[in-house]
Amino acid sequence: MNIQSLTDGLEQLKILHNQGKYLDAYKLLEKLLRDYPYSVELLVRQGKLIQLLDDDNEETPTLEIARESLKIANLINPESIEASIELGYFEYAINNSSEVAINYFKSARKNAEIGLKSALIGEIKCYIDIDNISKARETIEKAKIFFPDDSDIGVLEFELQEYEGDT
Amino acid sequence: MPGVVLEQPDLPMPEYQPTTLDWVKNHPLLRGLAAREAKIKQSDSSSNDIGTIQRFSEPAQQNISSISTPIVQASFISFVVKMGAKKASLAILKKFIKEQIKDKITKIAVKKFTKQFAKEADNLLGILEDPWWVTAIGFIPVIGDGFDLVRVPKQIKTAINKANALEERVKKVLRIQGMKAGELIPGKFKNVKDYPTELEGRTYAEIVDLASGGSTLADKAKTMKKLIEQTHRLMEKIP
Repeated sequence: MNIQSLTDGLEQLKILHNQGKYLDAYKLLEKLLRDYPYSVELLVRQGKLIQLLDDDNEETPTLEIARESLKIANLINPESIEASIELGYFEYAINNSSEVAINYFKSARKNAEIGLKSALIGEIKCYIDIDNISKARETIEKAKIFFPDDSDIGVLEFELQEYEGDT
Repeated sequence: MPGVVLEQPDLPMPEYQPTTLDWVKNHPLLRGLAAREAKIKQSDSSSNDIGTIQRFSEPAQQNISSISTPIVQASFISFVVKMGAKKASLAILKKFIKEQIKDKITKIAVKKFTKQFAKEADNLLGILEDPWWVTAIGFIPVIGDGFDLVRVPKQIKTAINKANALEERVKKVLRIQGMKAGELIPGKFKNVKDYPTELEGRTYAEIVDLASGGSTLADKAKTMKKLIEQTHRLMEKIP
């Protein structure tokens, strides 16, 4: 396994996608998946790309395979926000099953919130650490909008108030 | 015999060279890293669509950029150049919003888009009414249509980016509203269960209207609308 070849491949995939060359992108993706079969990112891309392929070529995989790729990605990493979102949209738009889709969207939102909270707390801690108290206050106010009454943020605010008292 | 050190040939020691900054910079490992970081920075700065949420990964920036700001592939800047102005100004930015965006919005046939986009354009104009804005916006051409904004307040940059993003969205709706549903989705989607073949010849604007109405075709139109919107979501460029 070679990280450079993976990053190069992902870059190339991005270019082909942005140029609208979905079949070429798909062919490259298949090659990459041979080397990295459990890459959640590649599996999600596969699920998305298959949906964009035209049906004039019989060799192109079916929509069921697109769903399968997304399901595998979700199974490998249930916390993957993108896999859950894509599965959600697949169920909503392709399978017309909004009730199933809601569960995927809920899961994505939950994981996104966990990530957002961790990121905001980390950011606030860094501002406190570098004595940028005003920025820490600004960020904590943002955090409180997203997570009112959150105990971790509340504790951090007490800590911040001590620093604010010192200055 | 083990343990016996034989006489070693008298090899010259390599000449001592102090570790310089250049040596560090040019070290193959660090060179690779620097190239990668530059690539990341470049792809970061080429992104126009900042939208309403600021990127959390960016460190705090000062309100006014000191030397230069990230390169903007800006429709607004092209507009400035077309007007033959040497510098962009607040007045030109307002003109851009009024002429390039608001006028186009009136041509949109789908009501919900007209309302939403008009609201966003008005909000942008409202932001620009703040008295503290500077009136001139410096910019220097970099490559092709790329421009590097210089000494521009962060809020002006955000307004420019929002105006550009809004114009793009308006143009996109204008482009697809008259296209037939069958042309707007990939072949794969025509195999979907309950695919409404009878709506293939209807335009996107008609589909949106049908979907929100109470006609017998409403459910089918909803299915088609979902497929069209899914296609466009998937086709969005990867930043």
